[in-house]
Amino acid sequence: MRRDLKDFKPKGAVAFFAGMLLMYAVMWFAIYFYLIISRGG
Amino acid sequence: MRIERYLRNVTFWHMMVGILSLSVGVTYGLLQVLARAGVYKYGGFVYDTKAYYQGLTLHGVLNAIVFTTFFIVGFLYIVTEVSLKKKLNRGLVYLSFFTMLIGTLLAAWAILTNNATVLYTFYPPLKAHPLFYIGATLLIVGSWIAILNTVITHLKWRKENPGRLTPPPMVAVHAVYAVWFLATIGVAVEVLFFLIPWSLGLVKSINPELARTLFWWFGHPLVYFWLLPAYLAWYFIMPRVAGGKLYSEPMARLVFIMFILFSVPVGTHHQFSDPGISNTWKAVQAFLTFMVAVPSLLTAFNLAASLEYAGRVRGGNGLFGWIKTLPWGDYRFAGFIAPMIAFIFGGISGIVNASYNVNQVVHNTSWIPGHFHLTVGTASAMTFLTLSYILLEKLFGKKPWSKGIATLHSYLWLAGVLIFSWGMMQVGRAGIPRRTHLGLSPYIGAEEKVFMIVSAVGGTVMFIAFLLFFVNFFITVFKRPEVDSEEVDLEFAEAYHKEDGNLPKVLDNFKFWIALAVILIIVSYAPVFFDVFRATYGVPGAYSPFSPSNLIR
Repeated sequence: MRRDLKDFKPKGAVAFFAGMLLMYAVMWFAIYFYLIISRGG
Repeated sequence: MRIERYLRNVTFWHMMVGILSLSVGVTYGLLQVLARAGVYKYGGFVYDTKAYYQGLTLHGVLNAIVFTTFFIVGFLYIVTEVSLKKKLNRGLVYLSFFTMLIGTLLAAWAILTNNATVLYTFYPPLKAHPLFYIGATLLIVGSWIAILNTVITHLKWRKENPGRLTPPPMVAVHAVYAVWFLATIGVAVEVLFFLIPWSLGLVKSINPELARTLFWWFGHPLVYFWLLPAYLAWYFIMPRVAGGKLYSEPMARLVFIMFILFSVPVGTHHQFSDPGISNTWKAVQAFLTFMVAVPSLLTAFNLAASLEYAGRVRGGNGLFGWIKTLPWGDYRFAGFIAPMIAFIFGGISGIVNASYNVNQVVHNTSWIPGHFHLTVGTASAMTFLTLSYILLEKLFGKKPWSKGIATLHSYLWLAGVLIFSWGMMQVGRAGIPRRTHLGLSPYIGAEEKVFMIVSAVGGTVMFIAFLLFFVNFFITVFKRPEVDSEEVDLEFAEAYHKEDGNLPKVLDNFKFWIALAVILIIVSYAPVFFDVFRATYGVPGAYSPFSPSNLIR
């Protein structure tokens, strides 16, 4: 185990965050389309 | 930091009242989910509840109000003393605890005797015994005494430490209490000026819409009162448990300040389907609800970066290789990461709730309990259970009886809540209502019935996980101390990006942010109350969930 990290760049966290936002968008639009389909006629 | 024996004991009793309340509440939670699936019928088991709604009231009040308030107040006492290295006022600590305890006992009597089957939102015209409202008031007043004590202690610290920045964990404590105080003003007005006089028979009529609006002034920021102590643990304790550092301390401070600003003026998103409030102001509060999602998104990034730091220190490589090197088998890490994973799904389901358009799909359906069991029911509750192990060790020198069980029940709870919430959300998406004794309903479709059984399976797994915690926790309580607990150190994490002298002073000025929050509340709520007063009025009437007949004859 290393004791410390110099010049740490959280690239994995950025990728995780982008993936999470993408998942959020997919889930939100899934409900949105459900709204359109079920209420739209 | 040496914590006096009395404060260790009082904190222990805060935990005990909370966890014992939770154990009763969780038992009724199991009965609720089994009853909804049609597996269990009320009566003659455990405590002979008169109906589904009495059990639901117990479940909501004990878990969401009593457990959380007691645990949070006790935990924040320790965080305050440890981070400021300053003693709280002993008399106020006792006064707060006994005021909260008496209030809880009064409200519990009213609910257990079926005199307050009004659910945890106590919407009129459902009417409770006056002692329920008085008990709830005392619980809140007791927590205000704890706030007063904390503020006095911090002001003394400021006087002795001019120019020093408030330690970041203490910023979180202030955010929790600022949100709680601003939020409880709404419910205090509702209870003191409307519900108590009405339940005592001093006034004959009540305006349900006005009461609902005042309740949700309190009811949504209540979520942040539950959540922010969990954030405190995730930001300042979890990174060190993982073997790393908090990625950004200034971002953590900004997050807590944003919660002070945006937590309260958002309650109207719970009233999207209520008449009388204009669409414009519902939309404004929907926008503000999205604003309060921003600090949670910042938190997701900051905590992911902190975990990545820890994972790389532990030898992880590649874009995601650091994930597998994290200490998944450590009971404290498991007890923090499992609720964080649940909260990822709690976050998106909350954003759906907040959206004025898609909210119409899920409003007042089973989706909502599916959502908040991921947030308060897991993100907060499970973090508090993990903290209760940590407090037992730090305050009394007692490590968990079984670290294996402590790790297991965190992951088991996570699996249970994901199954439970998936079932509830599927049923809710199909329009099946919440707070309805669906086990007796003849109109449930076959597909929905399947998902209600899925929820029952998930709820049962959650209950088993809680039982494992309960047994492990109480065996630990009765163990002999095995580590030295003279000096209490909550082992707050160091930061990779620390706060330095360049931090704008305004970020340490809580009066400024609270004043700004008050202005925002007035601006966003004045038109809502204007609409409510213009379009709604008090009505004579009081109802019980057991009968559709008006109780006032």
